[in-house]
Formats: sequence, C-alpha cells, structure tokens
Amino acid sequence: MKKIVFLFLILLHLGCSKFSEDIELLTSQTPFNEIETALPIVNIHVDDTDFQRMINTPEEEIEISAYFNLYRDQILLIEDQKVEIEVKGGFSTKYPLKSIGVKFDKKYDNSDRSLIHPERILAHHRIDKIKAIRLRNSGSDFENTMLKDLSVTQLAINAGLDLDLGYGEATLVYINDAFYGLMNLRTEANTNGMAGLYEVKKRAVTLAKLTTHALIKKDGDFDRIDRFVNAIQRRDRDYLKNEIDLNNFIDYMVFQSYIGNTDWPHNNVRFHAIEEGKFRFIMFDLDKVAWLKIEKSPLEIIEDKGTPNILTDLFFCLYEEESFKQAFHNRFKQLLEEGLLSYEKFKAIVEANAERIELEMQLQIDKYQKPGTITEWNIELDKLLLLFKEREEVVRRSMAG
Amino acid sequence: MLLANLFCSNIYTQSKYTVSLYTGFAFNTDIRLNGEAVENSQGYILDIGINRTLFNQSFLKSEIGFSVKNIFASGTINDKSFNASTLRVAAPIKLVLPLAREKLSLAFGCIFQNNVDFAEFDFRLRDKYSWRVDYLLEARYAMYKNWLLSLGFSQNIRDIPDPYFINDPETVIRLGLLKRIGKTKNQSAEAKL
Repeated sequence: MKKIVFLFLILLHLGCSKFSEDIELLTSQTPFNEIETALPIVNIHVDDTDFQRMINTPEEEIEISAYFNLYRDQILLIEDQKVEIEVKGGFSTKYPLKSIGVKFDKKYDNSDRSLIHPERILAHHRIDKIKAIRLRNSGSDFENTMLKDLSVTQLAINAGLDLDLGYGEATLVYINDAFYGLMNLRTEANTNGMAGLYEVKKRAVTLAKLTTHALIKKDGDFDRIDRFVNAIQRRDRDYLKNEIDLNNFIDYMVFQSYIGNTDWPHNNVRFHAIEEGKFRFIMFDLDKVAWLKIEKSPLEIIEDKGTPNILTDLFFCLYEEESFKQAFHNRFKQLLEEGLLSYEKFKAIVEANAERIELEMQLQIDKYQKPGTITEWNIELDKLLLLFKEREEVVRRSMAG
Repeated sequence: MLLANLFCSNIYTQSKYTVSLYTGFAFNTDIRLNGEAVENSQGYILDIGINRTLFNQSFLKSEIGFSVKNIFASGTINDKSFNASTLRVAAPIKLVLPLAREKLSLAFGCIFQNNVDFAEFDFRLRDKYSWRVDYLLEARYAMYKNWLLSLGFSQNIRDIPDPYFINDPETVIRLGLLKRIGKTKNQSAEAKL
C-alpha cells in the first residue's frame, strides 16, 4: 500500500504539462539597452551578496540599501535615487522571482510621471509624491498571464469607481544590469500608498488589514480600529454607517463580488481613514479572480461560508437595512447596464496589456520557464478571458433575478 | 437467467485484476486559441493502468481502474508549431458485456481525469474545468488465454472551453493490450445457475 501511495505522489508531482515550440526567443542575457521595448526599465544597483541573502531568506525581512534607476524609451529619467529594498509578499515569495518593495529616501516627485505613469487615475487620487513602490511578481498569477491584477485594477479605474487602490504598469526589472524579471511597478496599497494618494503625512493615516490569520492594526489610531471592529461584532448599524464611507464600501463590495475574488473577503482586506475621516476600503492583490467558484452569485462570494470574517459580517449587518440593500443593488445594476463593468471592457484591457508585454514575455520565459512557452501563455490568457466571460454571465443572471 | 444464457453459456470467475496498455491517436476538430484556429491539433497517447473487477456475472461485469495517461500533442497556431507532453491521472469505470462466448466483449463507460496540472489543481473542485469526463466505447477480443486486444474510442462529454484541449485533445481512438493477472478459474454456467 505504501508503495502505491508513494507511486501516486510521484505521479502527482510529475503530472504536469511541458510545452516546446519552434520560436527563437529573445534571451534574458540581452543587455537592456539592446531591447526595443516600450515598457519602462528599472535597473537597481545593489551589493550582490546582500541581494542574494535578502532574496534567499524572505522570512527574515531583510532591508538593504540600493540605488534606483529608471529608463523610459531608453532615456534615463531617474538616476541613482537612494532607496531601501525588501522582499515583499506572503505566499508569492515561494516563486523564484520575488516581489520587491522599494522605499525612497525622500518622497519622489512624480509630477512629471517619470516614476509611474498609469493611463488613468481616479479623480480623488494624486500620484505626484511617492514614498514607496512595489515591483510585483504578479502574485499567484506568476506562471500564468502575468497581467491579471493589473488588468482587473484597470477595469475598476476605467469604470471610475469610488475605490482606493494601487496604480501600476508592466516593467522590466534588472538587478545590477542583469535581467531580474517582468514585473508590475505599482504604487503601494499600504499606509505609505494611501498617504501618497491623499497627499497627507503618513502619521495622518489609520490603517488595519485582515488576513486569513488575524486582523492586524498597522498604523494610526488603534483605539478607533478597535471601536470599529467591536461595532461590527455588536452589529451597531448606526455607528458603522457613520464610520464608513458608504459609497466607497458599496463600490468595493460590488467590484470584488463582480470579479469573483476568492482570496477575499477573509483575506486581502485593508481599510484606512485619513485623520478623522471615514474608513475606506483598499483594493489590491486581484490575482485569484475569475477562476474558482465562478458560478457563485455576488452575494455568495461575499458570504464566504468557509471562513467567517468581519467584512462579511459588516456587509450583511448593513444589508439587512432596506436602504443599503437597495443602494447596493442599484449601484450593481447601474454599472452593469451602463457597461462600465463588462466582459468587452475587460477583454479590450487584457488584449492591450498582452500586446504591450508580448515581446518582453520572451525574456521572462527564457529566464524562468514559467510559463514555459508563448503557447502556454496564450492558453492562460484565453482561459482568463473565457472564465471572466462566464463569471460576468453568472453575475448578470443573478443580479437580474 | 435468460439474458445470461443469451450472452454466454459459461461464467468465468476470472482474476480480479487486469493490467492495460493503450496507445492511440488523439485529435481536436475546430479548436481555437485567442480567436486563432489551431491547425493539426492532434497527438498520441500512452496509457498504462490497472483495473479491478467489481462484480462479475455471466452477462455483465464491471471494472474500475486507475491509469496514467501521457499525451504527446502538437499543433500549429499562426504558422508556429508547438509540442506538448502532458501527464494525466485517469479513473476509468466500465461495464463489460461478453459476446460470442468469451472471445468477444464490448465495454462501455466513462473515464474521469484531471484536466489541469496538479500544481494548479484545486482539490476542493472549485475550479469547474479542473476535471474532465470522457465516454468510452471499446471492443475486446480474447487473443490467447489471459491476453486481450482492444479497439476503442473515447471523447470528452463535458462542456469545456477549447484551451483545455490544446495539450490533451478531446477525442481519442485507442488500441489496447490487456492482461488478466492473478488466479483464473472456469465454471460452467449451468453449475453456477
């Protein structure tokens, strides 16, 4: 019996697909000044030993000094800015390409959009002063499309939703002139990020995050966070309605349930308040959307039966009140009917993003073999679009009912 | 009893286990990836497995199996060709209908298998396309003692989008060699009935 189990485990391990194709790929050894790319290129100069130690032991949260350079159209726009870098991420640190947090010594003046230049930003945000950015490995979408989080976030931005989120763009990253990976250069979705978006000091921000393990009070007024959480547990609806930005909350719940984010609401939840302002919810890490449980209705996604959490409790506490319920459903229907949230919109974003990184994916494939070929990448892109389409049909059916 | 006599006059209390080796030609018809047609989407399979007889009556027996299937697929998209080697774990469940005494039998049933690599397989089956079911038709011919030759056909029956079939085509024509293993004992039907 043991032998059979052992054999089965080996088969599970081997049970994968290996593709090959007759395409001559760009090699990741190609110097970046020889690559005809429209993407920004980040080149970080750092002590190689320190960098390897940092990368190989992400659990130690080692922060090291480095110098940050950025090119656009082969023109050096940011030269040797002093930064601190650190491996970021939880589950995604298992991948060979680790996400890196980059913290500038002083706030970087991005008013000329040299550091980050998203196509569009929401009217209530500013990205002129940036303290920190993240070079993100696409999280659990690493090995697959490499553009899911970016594309889904773009859908929300283009729809003009009342959300707080990170702005990003695909970027080629080099460490000491050697190709590190195709990554997403993104503003942070943490305290530094919110301080930047609202142009306030970091100390003006109160922020907490909910993970699968715990609610973590990160910065600011911890007593206020406690009072808020206690009010959710007491189901004190009046207090809660006064404490949260309802428009933001409705848009946040509508969008997350529309995309079918299954790594949420028990995880990847952050809320913040600026000074004495109302709590607003931050959207980030959208790598596990339109994949699992695509046939669940938006309310079933929010209900998240498997993992009790305060966000589900907060939503259903408010949902019991007719006015909130109506507001939620009306907003959902409005976004669907006006076509602001639609498969067609998402498809256009994905296709544009895929075209933008088509050449650069060759470098990624050459270095990491994840995905292993352009064909596999195309399969993953096709799956993403097909699943998103199915997801939207489910949502439209369930909201019509 | 009448049915039993129609199909077979002898009951073979055969060994419970059969090992099988199948090879075959797999193909897709009209398959697309990102809107582009995939030309010559086809491949070869090699499937090695073991089957256990669940019940065995003179006119019908059932089998459940476990096999590993390797698919060597290929195709062309936009004049660029690709090859893929994929390993899948399958569980065939079959009903076998003996015909023409013990020489010939007809098997039909279905094959359950994983449809995505185990590295991305959701064991709670929340990914609706992570598994696949093929129906199966198979004719078996007893060549010699415990050796059987089989010719069969299987095809996916679930509504699954095209990208999942690029490296594991939807339809397979299969040729197999089966060997009963373990003890074999013959009994006459009259004695049994």
